[in-house]
Amino acid sequence: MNTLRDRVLAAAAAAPSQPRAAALRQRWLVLSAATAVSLAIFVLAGGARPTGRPVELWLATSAGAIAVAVTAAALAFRRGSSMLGRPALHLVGLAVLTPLLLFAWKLGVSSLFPEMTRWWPDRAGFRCLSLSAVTGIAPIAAMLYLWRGTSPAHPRLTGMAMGTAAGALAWTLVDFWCPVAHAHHLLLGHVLPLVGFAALGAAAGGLLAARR
Amino acid sequence: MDDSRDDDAADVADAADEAMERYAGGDDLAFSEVYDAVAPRVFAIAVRSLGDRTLAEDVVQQTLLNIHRARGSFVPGAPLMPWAYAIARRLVVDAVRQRRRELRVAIGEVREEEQPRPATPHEELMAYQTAGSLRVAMAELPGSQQMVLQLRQEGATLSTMATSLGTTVTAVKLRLHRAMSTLRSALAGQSEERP
Repeated sequence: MNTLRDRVLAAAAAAPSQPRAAALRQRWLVLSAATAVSLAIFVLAGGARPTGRPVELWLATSAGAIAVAVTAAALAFRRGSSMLGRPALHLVGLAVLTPLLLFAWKLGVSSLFPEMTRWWPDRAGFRCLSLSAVTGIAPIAAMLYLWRGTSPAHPRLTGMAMGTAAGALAWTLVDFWCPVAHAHHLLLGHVLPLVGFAALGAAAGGLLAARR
Repeated sequence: MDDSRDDDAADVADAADEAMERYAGGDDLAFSEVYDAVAPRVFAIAVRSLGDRTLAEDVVQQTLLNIHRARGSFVPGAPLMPWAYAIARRLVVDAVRQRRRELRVAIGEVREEEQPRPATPHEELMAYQTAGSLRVAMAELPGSQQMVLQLRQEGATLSTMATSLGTTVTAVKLRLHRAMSTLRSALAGQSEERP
């Protein structure tokens, strides 16, 4: 065992790792870069536009989406009090409740305003689907990159929760842009990409988050 | 006896947590203390699971290096041992899966070699058969049940096992109960087969 001890200590010394303060700086850098990439894509796609709906509605749906997305991201990304991450039930709850809350909030608040949940024949939801897909990639990649190789107890569920959070962040950006609140449009253009990110996160989480 | 074992495990865990906290904070020298706290326990589990000291040492090395690489993400105040066990568990499970088929073949070969030895004392044969049956039964247990048995033998408390395996204390008790029942059944079956 002494030989092994020497070998392990030598291997660790030969490949220095970041202490907590440096890792924290790296975390902020990577997450900030991912946010900047998403925002840049969003701005290139047209950016925030309150047209087509009352400003109060625009502010209310966006504020609700921000609250849900930030909460989901904090819960998915932070480990809680253990290095093994959050319990499975919490992760599953996060993945299920986040799209439900976002959908209910958008539809519920919009239904308080006349004509705001009407069907838009030329807006089935494909443009929102595309915009969600491209704006959510950077956040999910950043979160999985920062969690790679730390062996949480539930790598797939952790990845799924991160995918959900990334999808919720994408939802928030798209909500600044999209005035449509018809249920079919929301399901195709807003909920579907979020669920897709959750599935992508689950698949990638199994590979990246668990150290093999 | 169980209380004293739990106290010892708690002392080791406290020392490990304190060393890991310093290591995560930037004290490079604390890694040797982390090693001293983690390595013997992980080695004991790995060598029991794998039956091979070289492979067990590989598991220890990989576990410690994973901890080393991820030290910057160590949550302040988090317990170290459940995390170390979780990393080791993944490594052991991977190794066990790779070796399971080889182990079955090896056990079969050893039994074939043992049968024609008329000089073997009866008690020695019985002990050998019992050990063989246990190893086969252990190898056929689900990975989660193998882990709780190994962690229990190592002296881990129920709560540590639950945290390590990402489950509840009740689930750990259930896995222990099922694992022991399976092993008892395997031994009972072996007794019935004896002349």
